[in-house]
Amino acid sequence: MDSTPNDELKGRNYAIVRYKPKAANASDDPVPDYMNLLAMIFSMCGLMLKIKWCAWCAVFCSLISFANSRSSEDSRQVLSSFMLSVSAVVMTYLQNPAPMVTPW
Amino acid sequence: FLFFTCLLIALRKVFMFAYAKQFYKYDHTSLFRNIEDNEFAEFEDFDDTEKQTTINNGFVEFEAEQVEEKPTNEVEDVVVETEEDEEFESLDPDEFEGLPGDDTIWENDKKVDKNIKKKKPELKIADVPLHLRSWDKYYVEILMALGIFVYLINFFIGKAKNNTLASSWLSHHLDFLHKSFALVGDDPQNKKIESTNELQKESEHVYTLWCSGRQCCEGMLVELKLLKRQDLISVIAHQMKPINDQVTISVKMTTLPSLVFCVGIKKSITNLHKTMQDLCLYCADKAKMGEKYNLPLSMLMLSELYGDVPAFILDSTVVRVLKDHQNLFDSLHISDQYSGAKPLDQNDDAPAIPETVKQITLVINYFIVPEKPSEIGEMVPLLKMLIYLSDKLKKLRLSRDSQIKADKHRADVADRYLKQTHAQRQEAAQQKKEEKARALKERMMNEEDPEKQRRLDEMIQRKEQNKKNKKMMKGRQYKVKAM
Repeated sequence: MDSTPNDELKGRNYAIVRYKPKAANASDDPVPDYMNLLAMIFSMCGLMLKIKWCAWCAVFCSLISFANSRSSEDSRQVLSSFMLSVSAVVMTYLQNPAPMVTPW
Repeated sequence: FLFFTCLLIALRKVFMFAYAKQFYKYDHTSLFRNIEDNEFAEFEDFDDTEKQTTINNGFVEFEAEQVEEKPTNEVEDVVVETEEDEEFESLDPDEFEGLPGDDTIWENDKKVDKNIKKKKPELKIADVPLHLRSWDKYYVEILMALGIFVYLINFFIGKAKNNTLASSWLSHHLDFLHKSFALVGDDPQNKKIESTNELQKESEHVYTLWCSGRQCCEGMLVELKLLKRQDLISVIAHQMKPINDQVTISVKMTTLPSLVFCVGIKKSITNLHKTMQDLCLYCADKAKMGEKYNLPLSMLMLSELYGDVPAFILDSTVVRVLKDHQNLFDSLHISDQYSGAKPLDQNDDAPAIPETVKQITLVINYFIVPEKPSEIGEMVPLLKMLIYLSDKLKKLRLSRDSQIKADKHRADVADRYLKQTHAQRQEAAQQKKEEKARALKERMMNEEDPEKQRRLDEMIQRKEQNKKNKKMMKGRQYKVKAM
């Protein structure tokens, strides 16, 4: 058997170890989890209290959470929070079609 | 994207429908008001049947409901008129001069006629303005929708950019990786051991690659921690406080001599010294400059042993590579007691001895310079240096003195941990004893056979007596010593 330069670099007796994905993912980046929670809170406020800017904030928060989410996480959670925020916006406008009033 | 446009169209339709509804409501109320006014105006005129018929004609243009309602109103009118007739008889007609329907003033009749004539044009139902006249009031909503649109565009652009960065890194390094490792890229879900030759996407800004199959190396993990270009808010934050992409390459070793060593740029060394647990425990001295080893002035080094270890690690090849790539190099951390960063909550009850691995970690900062796209290629020598070091370190044999020192350090650290946990372990042991005694007593209480009960009782009594004796003995010993 020809010993290729590759073998010499690797060494003759090597063992292959399988990849173990790092389990501690949640502590690294808390942004997507916080944003998800904020999105739910805002959408609930917007729906119950019929506050338009809450509903819009919820949409933004869920978008940020989606952008920062990890691939290992379930996408259903993010999708459901996004749907909830969109429904909050639609419901607030159905109940009160007037445009949003700004404080300034 | 299509989904969003459809959603926007649906929202717009909803707004238009809801706005239209408002107009219809408004028209109805105004019309009803008109009818009421005219009805009351007509009460004082008893000869107004003609006028009422004209009114009826005018009302024909309304919807069917209102026409149906009219006859019933007329009936009511008749009833009311008679009643009001009596009321008005008592009132002085002179007091009501000038009111519409007053017979005495001829002009008022004209006014009434005019009113009736005017009614016809007013009966037309106004057209709902379904055009864009209402949209300028919704400028805040339009701004929000625009914001969402911009964020989405930035997401796709950022995602694509990160993806190209990662793939260009891989394309530059793949050849060398194939030469150095048997397995390049591992898919944990795949049961077969196959090289995927692809980076694994942990998130839109973090990519990993696991390589394995090299002598004395368990494996090598490459983490590309790129900037969050897909998140608009992060992009804005980066503009204000610039950070750079980082590549963290960690080689897990199977054999590594007992040493803890770190070299890097000043900022990272100070940071690592504070956060890394092993550096805190083993490298108590302040970081030193590396002039003796020809290190650039911007770099500092930390070591557990300052004898032969730094000289061995910082040989000419390593120093040359570090000097050539000063702009890229961030830190190099070699440790056989690597356990990651210190836990943030220091006041935890049981600080258990952390699990340690033998690891060499190299961190590379990558600044994107648009004029020089080939900079990724410059990282390859650093990776080569890392592999070269990992091979070299296998052969290192510490001198006797250094080895003794290192072992002593490790034993000290282990003792410290034991002491810290001593109190907790004592408490735990005491609790266990109490639990046992309680269990025994319970057994005795529940025991039905009186013989057995008596025996168990005796056992418990004996144990308690022994304890008391021991305490007394201890007390006597102390007394003797004091004397």
